[in-house]
Order: sequence, then C-alpha cells, then structure tokens
Amino acid sequence: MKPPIIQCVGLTKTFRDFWRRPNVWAVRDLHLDIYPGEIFGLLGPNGSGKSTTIKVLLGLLYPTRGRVTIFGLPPTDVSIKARIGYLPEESYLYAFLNARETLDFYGRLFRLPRAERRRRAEKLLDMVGLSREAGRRMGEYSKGMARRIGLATALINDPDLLILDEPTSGMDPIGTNLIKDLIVDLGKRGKTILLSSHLLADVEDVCDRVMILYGGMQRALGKTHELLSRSELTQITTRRLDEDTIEEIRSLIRAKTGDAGVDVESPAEKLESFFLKIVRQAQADRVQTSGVVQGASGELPAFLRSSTPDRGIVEELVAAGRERPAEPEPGPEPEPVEPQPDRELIGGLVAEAAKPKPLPRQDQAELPPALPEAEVDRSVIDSLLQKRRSQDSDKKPREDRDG
Amino acid sequence: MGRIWSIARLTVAEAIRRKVAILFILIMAAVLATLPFVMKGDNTLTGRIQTFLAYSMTTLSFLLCMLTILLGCGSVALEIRSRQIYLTGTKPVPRWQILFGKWLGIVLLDLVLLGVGVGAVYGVVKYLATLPGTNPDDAYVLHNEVLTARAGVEMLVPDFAADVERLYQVRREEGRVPVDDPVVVDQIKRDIGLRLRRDYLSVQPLATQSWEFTHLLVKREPGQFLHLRYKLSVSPEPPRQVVYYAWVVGDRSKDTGEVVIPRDDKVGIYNEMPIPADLVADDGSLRVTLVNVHPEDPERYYRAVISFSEEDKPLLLYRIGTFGGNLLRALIIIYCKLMFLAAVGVCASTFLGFPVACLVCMILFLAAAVSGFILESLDMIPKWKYIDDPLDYIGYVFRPLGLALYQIVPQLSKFNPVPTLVEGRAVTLLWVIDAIGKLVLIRVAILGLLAYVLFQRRELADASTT
Repeated sequence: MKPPIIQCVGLTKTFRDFWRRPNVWAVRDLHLDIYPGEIFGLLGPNGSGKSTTIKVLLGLLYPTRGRVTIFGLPPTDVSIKARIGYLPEESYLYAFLNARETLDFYGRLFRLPRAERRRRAEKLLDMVGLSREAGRRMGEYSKGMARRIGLATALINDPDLLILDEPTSGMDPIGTNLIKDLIVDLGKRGKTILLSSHLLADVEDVCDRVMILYGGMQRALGKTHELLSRSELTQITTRRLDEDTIEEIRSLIRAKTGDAGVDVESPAEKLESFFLKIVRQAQADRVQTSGVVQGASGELPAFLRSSTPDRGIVEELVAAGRERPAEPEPGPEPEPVEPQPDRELIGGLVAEAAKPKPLPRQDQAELPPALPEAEVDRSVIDSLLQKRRSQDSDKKPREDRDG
Repeated sequence: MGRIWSIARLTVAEAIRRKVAILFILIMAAVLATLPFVMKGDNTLTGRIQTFLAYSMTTLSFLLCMLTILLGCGSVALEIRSRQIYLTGTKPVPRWQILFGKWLGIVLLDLVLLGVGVGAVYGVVKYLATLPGTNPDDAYVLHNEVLTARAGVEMLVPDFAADVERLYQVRREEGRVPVDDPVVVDQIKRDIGLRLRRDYLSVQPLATQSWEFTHLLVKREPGQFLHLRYKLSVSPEPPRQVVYYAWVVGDRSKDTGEVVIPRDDKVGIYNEMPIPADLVADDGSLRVTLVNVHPEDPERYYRAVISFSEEDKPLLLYRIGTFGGNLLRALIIIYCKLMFLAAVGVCASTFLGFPVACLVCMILFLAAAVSGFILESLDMIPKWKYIDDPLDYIGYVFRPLGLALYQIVPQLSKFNPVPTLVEGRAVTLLWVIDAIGKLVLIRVAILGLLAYVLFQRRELADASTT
C-alpha cells in the first residue's frame, strides 16, 4: 500500500486570545489519512474546523499539537508546495492585476518557463471560460468570475495534490458543474484532491471518501457510497409504464415481500441539469454576454471530457510526465475504515438531503427509520440541511449577478 | 532569483497601479516647477539656486522617506490583512524570498523615483545657472562656491593640555582652588581649556592672530583659488553689522609670498574669501593671519573683538570635483537611507498591522532624523553626581535609554548630504562608504535577519469560521 499523501495524527489547533489563553478550539485530536488518487471530502457546517485543517495542511497555520505531513514532509517544507494547488475559500487575488497577469505571476513562482506559462494560462482561461475577459483587472470581476481565475491559478502548476476550500462558493451552476466535472476528471487521472464544503450534493457527487467534522472533531469517516447506501431498499428505473402494469408490479412485490410500502413515481430532471441545458442552448444561439462563456464553441472545454481525443491543458498537464499510467490503477485501498459510530446517522441524514423529492408521509412512516430518533444529533443534521437549502435558494440571484 | 524578482516586480506594479508612485511624481513635479519662482533666497542668482537646491532635495528626500515607510509597512501587513498571502504563502517560495522580494521592489521603485527626481533637480539647476546674475560676482560665486565639490580643511588647533595643567598649578599655588574635590578640579581644568581655545580663536582690537591649515592637496597653479569660509562674531556688535579688517595670507618663512586682503564682512553669516592657490607652501600648508585693524583708515577702526566659535571655525575649501558628481554621491547617501527605511518598514510589517507598523516607523524615522538635537539634549541632562533636583532622576533614567536607542537607531541627521551639497562642499566618497556600511550592510542585514525570524514564526492565516 502506498503511503498516504496527507497524514494528520492527533491534530489539534487552538486559537489564543490577547493574554495567550486558548479561546477557540478549532480542531481537536484529528486523525486523517488521504491516499494518492483519492478524492476526499471534508464536510461540516460553518466553524467546524474544515478551513483550519486545510490551513494547517498548507502551513498557513501551525498545529498546537499533533503531527502533520504532506508527501511525507512537514507542511512548512517549501519543496512540497510545488506539488500542491490551492483554491482558498475566497479569491484572494491581486485586484490590480488582470487575469492573464495573475496566472503569469503565479506561474513564475513555480518557475515555469515563459512560453509554458503563456500556454497554460491561455488553456486555463479557456477552460474557465474567461478568455475574452482576461484583460480585465481582478477587481472588476464578479465573485464567481474571480473564483474561476482562482481555480485556474490552483491548476497552473499541474499539482499532484489539489486542495479546494469551498470550491463552488459564489459559483453559478455552470461553474459548479465545471468544478465537479474537473474534480472527477482529475481524480480519474490519479490526482489527489481534498475538497472542503458544506454543500452536501457537491461532495456526494465527486468524493470517494468523506469525513464529517463538527466542533473541530471527526464525527464520521468512510467511503461515500458506503455511508450513503440504503441496503434495505431497492430502486428500479425503467421506461414509463401504464397504470395496470404498475399495479401488477405492486401486487407482485406485495406477494413476494408482504410489504405494502412501494413508492412509484416519475423521476424529475434535476434543476441543475435543466439550467445547464438552457444555457448551452443560449450559447449555441450566440446570445451576447459580458460574463462567462464556456469555451469558444459554447461547449464545455474539451479537456473536461476524458473520452475526447483532443485533450486540453488539464489532460496534458495530468498526462505529461506522470509516473502513473494514464488510467491509474485503482487507488490504493485506504486504511480499512472501521465502522464509525455515527455511520447510520450520517447515511440517514445525507440520504435525506439528497432525495430529489420527499417521500409521502404515510410511506415514510412505513420505512424503518435510519436511526432511532433518540440517537440522532439533530443539530448536526439541521445545520447541514439548512446549508443546502439556503444554497439552493441562493442559486438564482448568483446566476443574475454573474451574468 | 526568479521568484524574488517576480515578487519585486509585483510590488512595483502595485505601487504604480495603485497610483502611489504617480501621486509622488505629481507632487515632485509641482514642487520643482514652482520652487524656482517662489523661493528666491537673497535675490542673487546664487541664493536662488541654493534655496532651490535645499528645498527641492529636502522635499524629494522627505517624500521618498515617507513613501518608503508606507510601502514597507504595507508590504507584508496588507497582504496578510487582505489574505493574498494565502496564495503566495502556499507557493514554493521560502518566506525570506517573499520579504526580500518586497524589499527589493520598494528599493527599485525608490531608485527610479529618486533618479528621476534628482535628474529633474539637476536639469532645473543647470537651466537656472544660465540666467544672468544680479551682480558681476554672482556667476563666479555660483560656479566656485555652489556648483562645485570642494574639500574642507579645518584649521589646526593646538593641544592646550600642558598649558591647562600649568595654569591650574598657578591657580592652585595662588590658593584660587577652593577644594580638592576631583569633580571641581575637572571643572576648573575644563574652564581653563575653554578659555585658552576661545582666546586662540579671538583677535583683540589692533592685534593679529595667525592660524595654519595643513595637508592641502591642491594644485598650486595661477588662476586656481581656494576659499576660506568663516562666520565672524564681533563683540560689541559693530554698526550695520559690518566689520572692517584684513586677512594676510601666506607665509614668508616658507617662500610663498604674502597677500593682504582687506575685508568688510557682515557679522553672523557665512562669508567666503577666495585665496590664490599659489600661496600654499610646498609642504601643503597655508598660513592666514587676521589683522583686526581697518585696512584703509586705521584711525577709524572700531574697537571690537573679532572671534570664531569653536563649532564654526574657519574652513579652507578647495575644488576636488564637479557638481554632477557631488549630486550623484548625495543621491547614493539618500538612497542608502531609503534602503534602510524600506527594511525597517518590511520588518515592522512582519509582526505588526499596517497602521501600527506605520506609527512605529514614523516615530523611529523622526527620532533618527533629529538625532543630533536629541543627543545634544541627552548630553545636557546632568550626570548622577550632579543631581540636586529630584526631578533630575527622570533624566538620569532617560539618558542611558536614549543613548542606548541611538546605538540601534542610526543618526540619520549624519547622513543628510543636502546642506553640504548646497554649500558646494564635497559629498566625499568616504561618507558614501560610511552610509553604505552603516545603513545598508550592517543595519539592513540585521533588520533582514530579524524580519526573517519574525515572519518565519508568524502564522499567515487567522481564525476564520468555515
């Protein structure tokens, strides 16, 4: 088994007041191993310690206790930083530089040759859909556009480890989709990605494993599909059936299982997919906009599609000079994850949040509860769900602002 | 070096695009454009140019010092405040390179602005020098006493230690020493020494006094001149503040010939008198004698003592370089100051927020700029053994603290070349080397090391809430 790329042993971080007394316990006794090729999600509500953990990993904060290594070295070792790409929770870019200059500046810090810097900058600008707006100063960009440049900046060095702190924050659905596709694409090529978010859908869609933090402590850790799977249920999707057929199936199931709780419905398209379809249509019709344009042809950049032979910079960056094969071996098996005490709880609450449509109350009542009500930490659940709801309700205004 | 250079370029770009540098250039342009017409000195062309030089160079130097402090204090502190350091600090750039790059950017910008500013001053001076003078001597004085670089040699003052001891013994034998307390003895001897030196620098009515300058490295060719610069004190004050007397220059015993130069000088201001260079003896010495007699009408002499103060002894000046070269050396000394201030600013910004760092740096700058005055004041605080007022204990505490402070803070008043430049005196290479050594090689290096240690220990992020 390959050694972990990121390892935290008993990580504790406290912040002190003026008199040097610890007044905030941001992270407490955190144990974390992230292996090569993994897409790892750090989940938690605001103030749960996600960003603090990331900042300690990046050497921006020093641990109060515990040991942290990245690529086997302490985070303060400068040599490892050449292999890391970082997107902070907000775009802390220089407002007086334009997008091209920004990428060039950070490219210089990685000692990329001039021609290579330019080539990568152009490809990345194209990837994030800001080629036409690259001459504008960062201070003139909307939040979402600045995030896209931040993302491009994080990729300029072709990192082995990509650390994304709230990557979809401030992004419109197109940007969110781009980020998710990119994460999946990079993950397929063996990149290691640490993703911090309080948006459950983002993490669920892309992460191999997740850790849920609350109050600076680990509350759950495991493979996403294992945490979310509902082994007690079976779902069949087929073409539209008439009422008679449905009733036949109901009868058959009742006869076989004796269970009256059969839910039948027509799946609805996700709003995100619908939105993307509309925008792509507008781009195909060449509707004028001063905002983000996804690729010259109005399509997502070619490099985001792993099956396309015409590969873009990200694929080139990923493929070129990699010791790993293009199609990576299945990532080394993570340390066997012991069943977590809160696993069922988390499985229950994530499934709750991810359901496209709530079950009718009478059917729900017939299902076995994911966890006895008494054992559920409702504050964690409420906090996570509240976040998601507010994010969903925020989507429309962001679209407007980002054009 | 590539990363340092990138950060330096970014620092310069930031100063330019945030219009800090442009504002500075506009202020300088306004100063340079208006000063020659507003400040006219004593209305002579020489006075006008000297005033322009003094004010423009002082303004340029002061504005650049302020700009440097602001940029230095903002360099790291503002990056931390606006969290841009999250990105730079997570790139493969050692922290010392971030600091060095910031410092380098600031001093590069300073170099360009100082170069442009001093170039503009030089251009205006050269233009003003082409204007007609107000009297026939104006052009001569301008080119020989201002737009030049002259070495200054002080007159020899004998060591009066033996005389002091002798006179003290006389007093003692005469019973004029009240007690044998060593403090009192010291004071008496100091008073005797002061009186002897004052007598040496004074000339009684109808009397003469000679002084000698040695080690003059001057070409003794006809047409070459040295200048004797002096400020007279006359007691009692003469009518209209003008005193009539004569200088006799030369030493017959050394076969140099002798020239009598009658003078009617104003009291209390600096006067300069040209002296033919061929009056310098073969051994590089020059003898001058002040004759306290009215040169044309001895009967009408005004009975007054002519004297020079210990601090303003006559100085013999002779040309050793050009104004352009002098200005360049002055530029280097000012630039050394700026390099030092940039290091102070960057160092302060590694552990203080922007406003506090600015405040600390401004206080340090002021303390360094008026170091001469402060040190003089500290020197006047009575030492422990003389204390008779309880309030003096405060001074007793402050004195060593103040003196210790100036072991760390440089005496920037010693690195102000503007008055020297205005007087047409040479800003010497030794002075330049002193500035480079003390301000840059020693202090910038120490500040750099301190900044590195502080910055290395500092956490670049804070307690954010996600």
